Amino acid sequence: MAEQLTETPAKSTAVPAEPEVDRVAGPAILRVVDLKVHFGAVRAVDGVSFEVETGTAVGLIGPNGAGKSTALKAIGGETSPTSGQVVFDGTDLAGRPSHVAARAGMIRTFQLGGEFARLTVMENLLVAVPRQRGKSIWGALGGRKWWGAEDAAEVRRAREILARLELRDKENEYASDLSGGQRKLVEIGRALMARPKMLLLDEPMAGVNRSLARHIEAALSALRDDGLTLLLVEHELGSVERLCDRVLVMAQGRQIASGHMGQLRSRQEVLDAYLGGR
Amino acid sequence: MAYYVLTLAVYVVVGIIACWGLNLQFGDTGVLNFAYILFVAAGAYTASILSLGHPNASSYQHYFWGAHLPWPIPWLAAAVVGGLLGLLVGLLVLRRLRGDYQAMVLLVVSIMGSYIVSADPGFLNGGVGLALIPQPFKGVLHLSQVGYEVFYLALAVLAAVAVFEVVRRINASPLGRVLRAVRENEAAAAAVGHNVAAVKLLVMVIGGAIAALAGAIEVQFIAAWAPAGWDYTETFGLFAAVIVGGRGNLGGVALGALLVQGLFLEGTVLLPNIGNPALIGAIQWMSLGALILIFLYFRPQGVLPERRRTYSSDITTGRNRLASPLAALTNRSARG
Repeated sequence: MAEQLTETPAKSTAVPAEPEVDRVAGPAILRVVDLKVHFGAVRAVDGVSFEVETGTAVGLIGPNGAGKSTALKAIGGETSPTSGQVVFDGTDLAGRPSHVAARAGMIRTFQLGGEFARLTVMENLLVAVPRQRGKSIWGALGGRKWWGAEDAAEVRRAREILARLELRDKENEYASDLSGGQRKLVEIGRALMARPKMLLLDEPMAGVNRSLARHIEAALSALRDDGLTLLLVEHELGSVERLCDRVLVMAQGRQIASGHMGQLRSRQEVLDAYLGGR
Repeated sequence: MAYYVLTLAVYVVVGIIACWGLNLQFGDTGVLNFAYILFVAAGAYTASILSLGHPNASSYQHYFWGAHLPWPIPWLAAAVVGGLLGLLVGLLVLRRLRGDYQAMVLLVVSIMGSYIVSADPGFLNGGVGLALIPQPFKGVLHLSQVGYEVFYLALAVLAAVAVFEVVRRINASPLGRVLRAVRENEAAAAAVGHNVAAVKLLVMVIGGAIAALAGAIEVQFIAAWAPAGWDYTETFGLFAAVIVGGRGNLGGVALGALLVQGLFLEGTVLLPNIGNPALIGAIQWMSLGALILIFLYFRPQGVLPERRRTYSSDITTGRNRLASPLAALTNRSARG
């Protein structure tokens, strides 16, 4: 891991190079204040505070067990924090369930197994459409005349997203029949169908072959360039460097450093954390 | 023979209705409602006391309250009671417990329900149960026994058509997609904005109403109802039908009800008496257990698997279509 931290990341023509100037950042859409997640005596997350500005991509890195994924789960509502605030778009969502966070516009993807396995790729995407007529019981009983036209429009939108992710030819495949990388792309597509204000991405390139990892990175890079806010947990530091405007380093549940990836490479406390020196 | 066949046909139609309700919960949404028979029983008791009239202190059967209401009020009231029971049980069970614990608690609820009814003779006539339950239009139509059975079968089929339309519409709609998403991955469904507990509560209410309607239809046909007829093990007969037929496939579930409720369970009844008279009943349940195991091991998707939903490339019509039954059998998709 320390080697990964110090090596120069490989560049690819498929992936845009790290931006030399910061994108224009808006006000903070997410403000995490003194977030703590304790499991008994284990302090998985122990007082993390940071902000994510609208339209920026922020990376959350650290060695295994640093508390990155737990922090992401607490921010996204999957885990209740012991204390602290998660202010998203002006509302404190700390301790609120994940469907509330999602409805507020914060959509999370999963490290492993986040797809709906026995739903087709198209259905995986359509599930995420918010506030659809046919999703209430009365709307469903109203029949296709009531919700069909709206659903057809969403099918068209899903096809556009699938085309963008180069998954258009997979729309009728079951998600379980796709490769790991394709499933991650389906999750990203599904998140986009929810019309998110921000994506929480938990290791979107983990366990994915190099070619598909670059494809995922390119997709995320394009979303970032479109102005979508990203908070990303990832071990592939080259990707983090290329994608993220700012990086937070966690170790043993605490935030130990933040800044541009290039600056962090030389920070002794970061190297120590990756080498297990802390 | 006609009497036997018609009786069996009514049982099968009741079984199909009940299995469609269970399929909505288990097949579509993944809720392991091991208390399902309790909802059937609630509907049966509701229809019974709303048909029997006010309880008479000098009568041999005692129940807490009653009325003599015309058809279809007892059936509709049964569905309402089933839905309310689904709401109550769902609120108690679904909000705080994980899926496997929910199943355990629901099984316990089913057993408790049976004991509660059996323990208090003044509530619903205890373990003896209710009898002489009036049948709709029986005294008006003056039909022969077979003629009345044909009439009752028509009523049951009418109810089945209505239930089919309800579950078909839910199944085909965006709500149906949400149900299947919850079945496949609760955390991911929540992560895109779906309140999983509310979704499960909804299917507990609708499935409960359908189960209760099935109970009401059954009780007004057989004119008697007692706790021995709705033991918790009956739930597994309905689960067997859904698993064998194909969970998530309405046609498959109907086929499963026909095969399991109509042929398999009835077939074991026709076995010759061997040894202890209780042996046939034991063989029936052992065979049912073996049938579930065989399907779960070798064909978990059932005889007619859930169909793959594909979308027409001509989406201006807004119609999606399902893969052909043949494609469903071979797990191939008909491309839009």
